[in-house]
Amino acid sequence: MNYFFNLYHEDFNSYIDIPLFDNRGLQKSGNKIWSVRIMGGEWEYEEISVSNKQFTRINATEETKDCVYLIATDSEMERNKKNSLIDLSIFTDTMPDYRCSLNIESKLGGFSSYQAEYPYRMTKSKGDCYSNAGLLTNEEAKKIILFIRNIDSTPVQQETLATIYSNRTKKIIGQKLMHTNSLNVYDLTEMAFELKYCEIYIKGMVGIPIYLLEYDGGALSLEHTHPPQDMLGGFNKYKMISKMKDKLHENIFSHASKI
Amino acid sequence: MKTFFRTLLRSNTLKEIRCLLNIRPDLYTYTDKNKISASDLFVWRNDENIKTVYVSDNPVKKYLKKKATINLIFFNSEGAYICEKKLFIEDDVFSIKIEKIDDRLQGEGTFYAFIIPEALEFNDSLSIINKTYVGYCTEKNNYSFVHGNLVAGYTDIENSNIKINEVRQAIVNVRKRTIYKIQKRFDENKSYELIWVNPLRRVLIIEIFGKKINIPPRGLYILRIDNPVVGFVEYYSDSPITRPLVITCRGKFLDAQHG
Repeated sequence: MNYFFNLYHEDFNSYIDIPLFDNRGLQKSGNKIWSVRIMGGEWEYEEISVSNKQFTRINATEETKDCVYLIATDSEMERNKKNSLIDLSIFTDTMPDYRCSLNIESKLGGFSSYQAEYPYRMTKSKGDCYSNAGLLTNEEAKKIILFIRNIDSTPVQQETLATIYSNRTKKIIGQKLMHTNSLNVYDLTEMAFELKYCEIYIKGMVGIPIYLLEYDGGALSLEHTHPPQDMLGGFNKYKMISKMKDKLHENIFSHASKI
Repeated sequence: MKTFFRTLLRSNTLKEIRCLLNIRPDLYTYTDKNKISASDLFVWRNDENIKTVYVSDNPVKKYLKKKATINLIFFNSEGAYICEKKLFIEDDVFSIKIEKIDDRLQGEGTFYAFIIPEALEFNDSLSIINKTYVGYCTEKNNYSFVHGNLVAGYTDIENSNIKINEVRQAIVNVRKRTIYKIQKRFDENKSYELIWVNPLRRVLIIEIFGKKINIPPRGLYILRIDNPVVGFVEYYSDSPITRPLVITCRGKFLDAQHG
């Protein structure tokens, strides 16, 4: 099962288009779209009205920025639990992956999108989030925003710290509090010229790092970085990634001096 | 018992047989190999409207602390070889503008990007899976980035004479007429380019809007759709996994994403 999510930022208009068909064009009778959010320490599910048989468009708002969405029938939803997320439906378990289009628009008419989904298995993952900050940033952009979306099975919004570490200066150049089960937003614009040397590390929280660039004139770019394990192969890859993260962790928490 | 059968199904010999008989074939058959550098078949554009940049991190420096080169191999839209370029990479993150590589790179085509370590030691067990980012822009450097989609070729990184081995994509090599409905809403006020590349060793056939398109190995095909009225696009192919790159244009703005 996949969850879908929006990106909210006051300077941009954002929305998701959730398809009600899979990538073979098949639809399932009784499928509905549900919003999921934490209320009083429990998961609360609410049906979203569907206006179109092909796609449902959901606009990002400040009130719903932490909501996530799923597709399931009434009978599948009967299995849901208030204290943990459950794998309710196999409809979005497809090959190739089931996609939802996450769109963002600038006030000057620029737009960008990527095919977003948050796999159910990631809601059970415990670990750290790592992202190379130089890959999808561009010092010629006038604004650089990092969104980090986490969905954790347990209905709490736990605090953790995101750190940006420069391999050039061997210094921490930025830190920001982040929360599980939230859309975390971090403006990186002031660090633009250093980002190509930087790595982002979040202890104790997995998530999808999504970079938004806005250029002069309003053009946008929206794309996510992959976890290191997607970019490596070989017998020792997990050992190497673990070693790299341990080293980064050591640099951040033992030796680095904060600017 | 279940674990026993799962282990049996994943053994290399049975994997080959499964893929040959199309019984739950794996997406890739290269993933058990060690010390290889694998690459997507990326799309390059270089004309008066669209320019291309390739961006990657440097896993050789990060994980092995060694020097590396990148070998870029270019093909035209018919899959014919144009040129190749070998460059030393020193930075953590590097970008290469395609228009600056060779004057013969005019129009559009595909390319591999193999990252090769300078020298490997016996214990350096690492494979590089290069599905990083390509950015497309209409104006000066306002790139819209999109990540790689489907690993298409690999080289043995210990062999100095680089030979490209097409990835044996068991699933994609199966000749099976398959419908694919792109899970993206196509808006009336925008124009679109759907770009299919052929990572296979055989001709890939796409059927869309009543037209049959033959794409040669390593070639590509671009279909332009102006102001669509239906809202969605579906097509047939003779391979189960052939998702196009989608470039969306409205006025001076451009966005690239996977379909």
